[in-house]
Amino acid sequence: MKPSTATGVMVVKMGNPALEFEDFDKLVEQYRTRILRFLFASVHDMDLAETLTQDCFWNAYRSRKSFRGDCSVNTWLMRIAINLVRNHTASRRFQFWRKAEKVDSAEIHDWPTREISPEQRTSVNEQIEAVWKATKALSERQRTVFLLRFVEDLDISEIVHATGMSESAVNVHLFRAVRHIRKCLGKKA
Amino acid sequence: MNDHLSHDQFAECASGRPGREQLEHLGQCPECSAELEQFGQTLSLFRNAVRDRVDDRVASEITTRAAGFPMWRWAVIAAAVVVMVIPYFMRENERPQQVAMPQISEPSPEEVMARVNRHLSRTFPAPMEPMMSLIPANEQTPNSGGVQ
Repeated sequence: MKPSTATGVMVVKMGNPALEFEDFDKLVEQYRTRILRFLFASVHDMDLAETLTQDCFWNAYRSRKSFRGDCSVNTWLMRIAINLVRNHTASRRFQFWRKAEKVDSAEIHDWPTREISPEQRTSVNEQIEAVWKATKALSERQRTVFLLRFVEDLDISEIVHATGMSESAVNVHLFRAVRHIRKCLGKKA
Repeated sequence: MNDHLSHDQFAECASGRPGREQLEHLGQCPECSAELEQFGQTLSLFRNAVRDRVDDRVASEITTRAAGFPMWRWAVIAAAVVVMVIPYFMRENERPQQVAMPQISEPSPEEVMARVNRHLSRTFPAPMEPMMSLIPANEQTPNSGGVQ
């Protein structure tokens, strides 16, 4: 059975958040897939996402003592991941990856769609690819909010904590992202 | 007025913040309702695709790690064995082979004298008996008259 991280978010023990980091390997094992997923959908490159995931947990380990426990560990890790994406969006390192991304188009054409007929598979692949391309065209903030809401299933308050934006800003970015994606999908949706 | 939801109204509904008017319209318009449902399904497909892609990647890493470590370990063990065994065989080949030589034991002087005494004490030699040499062959001179 494949590992699933859809459930089982570690609940913060208020009053002693340091307990969360007693077994850091376990924490990495629990949240790695989730962080990698968000980063992959954000930067559209699996290798870069792997690198950023390692950076994310390294930063978390270094700053674990500053974790105050005012949000869940998942939200805190997401905040670190979002900051990494922002930094890389602006850095020269990301410029290199963006150039390489044009060559590596297999990331979007190799979706593992299971248990469906070839005809359905074609249709599903078209829809997925359309959303994938549409998210690429979003601004960094719009994409982050969209992915946190529709891929990571975070609610608005969690997105507010993770992004550091106000609730109204989150709603505006989400609205614009959805509107853009719906326009890009057109009749495909 | 348009019969269906505008882009903005649709986006408000899809992002989870529908107004009262949009909700009423969705309740009365099966086309917009179906389109909203279809849009939600597309986003769901996208979410599942991203999750599957990453889950597959993580699963393949775990498989590679689980299968790769023993192979690596066995390779190191095999290399160590080869490194230890090869010099032994090379040393064996370089060592000069010892030929088994027959051991020649020198008779003691007492034994030689006893044999001489036994020989001289006989009255006459046995027929065709070779003459016993008391002097080693390499010390014999060709013109000697012999011992006996």
